[in-house]
Amino acid sequence: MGVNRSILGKLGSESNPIQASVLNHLSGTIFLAVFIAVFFDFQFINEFNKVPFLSFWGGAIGAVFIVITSFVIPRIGVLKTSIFFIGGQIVCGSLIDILMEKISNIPQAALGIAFILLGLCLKLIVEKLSSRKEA
Amino acid sequence: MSQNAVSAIALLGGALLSLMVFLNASLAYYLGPVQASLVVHIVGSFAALILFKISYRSIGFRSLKNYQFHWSHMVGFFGAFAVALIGYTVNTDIGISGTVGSAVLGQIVYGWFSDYFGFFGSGRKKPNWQDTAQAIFLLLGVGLLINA
Repeated sequence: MGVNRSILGKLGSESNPIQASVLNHLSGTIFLAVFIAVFFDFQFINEFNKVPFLSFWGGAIGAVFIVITSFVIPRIGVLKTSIFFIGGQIVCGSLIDILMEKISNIPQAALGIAFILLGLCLKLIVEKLSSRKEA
Repeated sequence: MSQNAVSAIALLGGALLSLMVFLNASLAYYLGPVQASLVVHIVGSFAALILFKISYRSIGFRSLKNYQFHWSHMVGFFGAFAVALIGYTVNTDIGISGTVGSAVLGQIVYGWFSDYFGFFGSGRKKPNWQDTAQAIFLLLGVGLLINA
């Protein structure tokens, strides 16, 4: 994922993020189609009627996400981008896990989230403290 | 655009990402991880093309007349693998939190090296002590969360 992201950041700054996103999905599609043709078969198409309609929308979110990725990385760097993506992902992911009853110890999960948020806000806190010292 | 605004966009992107992981994993549950990854990429291709159609007038695009292939244009290769792997792991015992946690470990380590050495031409930014402390806090939090 990290490799994917930094190449996309580069492509996005060279051409534009949306073109990078099209390229990402088309090359992924071609690769997977070949991969499935060689190692599997296309019988899974018959299973489509069992899949909830909402489950098909993940790819659309992915396209929007890649636009966000290509926009953000050249502006704040890979490390900061990764950290903020993780923060949003962890908070939203735990909410889903709690709803799906996969997290049983909510206080411990909350402590974990608190650590993560503290880590995310660390730079803002340090900046505020140092600017107060100067003033 | 200010750094804080960009950071807020990244945070929202992360939230979207876990929704996406959830939806993709449910697709993998029905179709199998690699097959689901293909469906995800086909839907994503259409979505990206629609976004492109909407936006190309305002942002402009590079002419394809002088198109030259570059290895970085096969970027989707990595994403295709990542989507299949995530589709597989979320449906095992470790679930979404375990998957995200393990992905965090990989990305933090990768992000560190990438900023330091400027992998794939993404530009060098030397990580300082704050980046290090931030990573330690995050890993602590992720550890607690996985076991919750």
